[in-house]
Amino acid sequence: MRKELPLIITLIGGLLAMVGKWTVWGDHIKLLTYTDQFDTLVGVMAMMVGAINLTRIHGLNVQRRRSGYAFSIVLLVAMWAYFVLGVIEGYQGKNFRWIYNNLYRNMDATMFSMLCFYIASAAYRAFRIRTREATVLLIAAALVMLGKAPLGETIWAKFGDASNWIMRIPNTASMRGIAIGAYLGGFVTALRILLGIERAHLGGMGGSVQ
Amino acid sequence: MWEKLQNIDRRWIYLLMAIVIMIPILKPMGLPIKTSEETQTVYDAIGALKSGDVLWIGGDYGPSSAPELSPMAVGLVTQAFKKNLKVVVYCMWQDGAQLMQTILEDAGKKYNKTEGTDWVNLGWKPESVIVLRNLTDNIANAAKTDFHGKAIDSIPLMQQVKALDPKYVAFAFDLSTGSPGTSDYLKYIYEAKKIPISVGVTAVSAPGAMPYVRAGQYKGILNGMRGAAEYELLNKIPGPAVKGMDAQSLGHFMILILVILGNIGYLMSRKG
Repeated sequence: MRKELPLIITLIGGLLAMVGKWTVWGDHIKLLTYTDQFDTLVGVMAMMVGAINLTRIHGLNVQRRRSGYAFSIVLLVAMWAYFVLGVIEGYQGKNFRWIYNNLYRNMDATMFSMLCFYIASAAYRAFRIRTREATVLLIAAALVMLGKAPLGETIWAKFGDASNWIMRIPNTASMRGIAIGAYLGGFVTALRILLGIERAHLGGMGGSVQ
Repeated sequence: MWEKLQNIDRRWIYLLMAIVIMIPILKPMGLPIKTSEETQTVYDAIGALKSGDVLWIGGDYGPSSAPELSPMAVGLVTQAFKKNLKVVVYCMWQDGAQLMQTILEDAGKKYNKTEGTDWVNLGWKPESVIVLRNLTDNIANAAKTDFHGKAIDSIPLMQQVKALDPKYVAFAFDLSTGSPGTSDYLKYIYEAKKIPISVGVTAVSAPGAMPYVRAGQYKGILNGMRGAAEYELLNKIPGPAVKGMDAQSLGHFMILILVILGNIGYLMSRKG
């Protein structure tokens, strides 16, 4: 039953969503409203599991004085203190917003902006014209970069046109191909999960039943 | 020597990059920025709305992409307030609610627009994609409260805007970093409700959005900081995006020079 029950739940859940979305009757009784509420509950529970798990892992780090445990203290204090403040004040509260605007926002932006340095270093190391494909990729990347930078257009106005052409024509064509492939793959995977052929999401070793 | 050219210490790269980016931020060069067709389409589409029409804005981003997307949000709200449009904001990213509230409050003060009458921030709601879908039926039932926790029914503007439906909303614009975001607006707002939509995305997301622009499903696109800078200039409010373009220009050139150096080293060492 440990294997069968999740499969039955998956099948019922999938069928409910299909009936709710695709049939007049499902639309009439607003079936999706009920599944939406259940979805919300599951999402909130998953978030709680995440918070508890994070507390357990970092709590153990602190308890056993593992390397870098000071960072675990910072994480736990920041997470729970901000959570408690949010519960007391609400996310529109004055102090809650002050912390958000003056600490969190800047730290998040800083973390992301550091990518600029890593990308510069990674591009320098990875962009080698080893093959014909790599050469095409490099030329396309260089044209788009030059076209998107006003300095490139100042040097030669046609860089902008070349960049726009790459984005509008070859990029669009390839993205459509990728998207169609990905959506077909997603549809097939969803169907396999619904029919119980694909079981990797239930854990264990077996990926699928042929 | 050629080997060395392929293996420049990354710390030098970081230092050079920091210098190259900092100089134009401290002393802007004011390079000319040409408006792209996609940005012009966005500006014209919003410009074609009539006074009193409702512009719906999705604030689906966080602080990490704020340098690219917040200038777009400022531009959108500015254009809307200048044209006397009503603005309703809904955020599928929790961080977006805070960012959009600050932008709306600042623009509201500048253009003398009142919260609740001229603009409303519905904030973020748990399971935000489901809520977006339900907003198309009934905003009061789906969102229940605004950013401040005030009941939707008690807000004057929301008494006129009952649903995210073409009957009430003239145009929707989604500012998005990823998912949830533009694809949800495409499915639930454009395809299901036939409300014209447009998007503003980070430069890294733009290639994925281009097919929908070319198909006419998105009315133009604001593409990364460049798109934000073009939009700032069209609205005659040059700001952080325009300033950032100089830094981006030099940053791009720096990367290109490094790539060229690396490849010279690679080709010469192969010959040797």
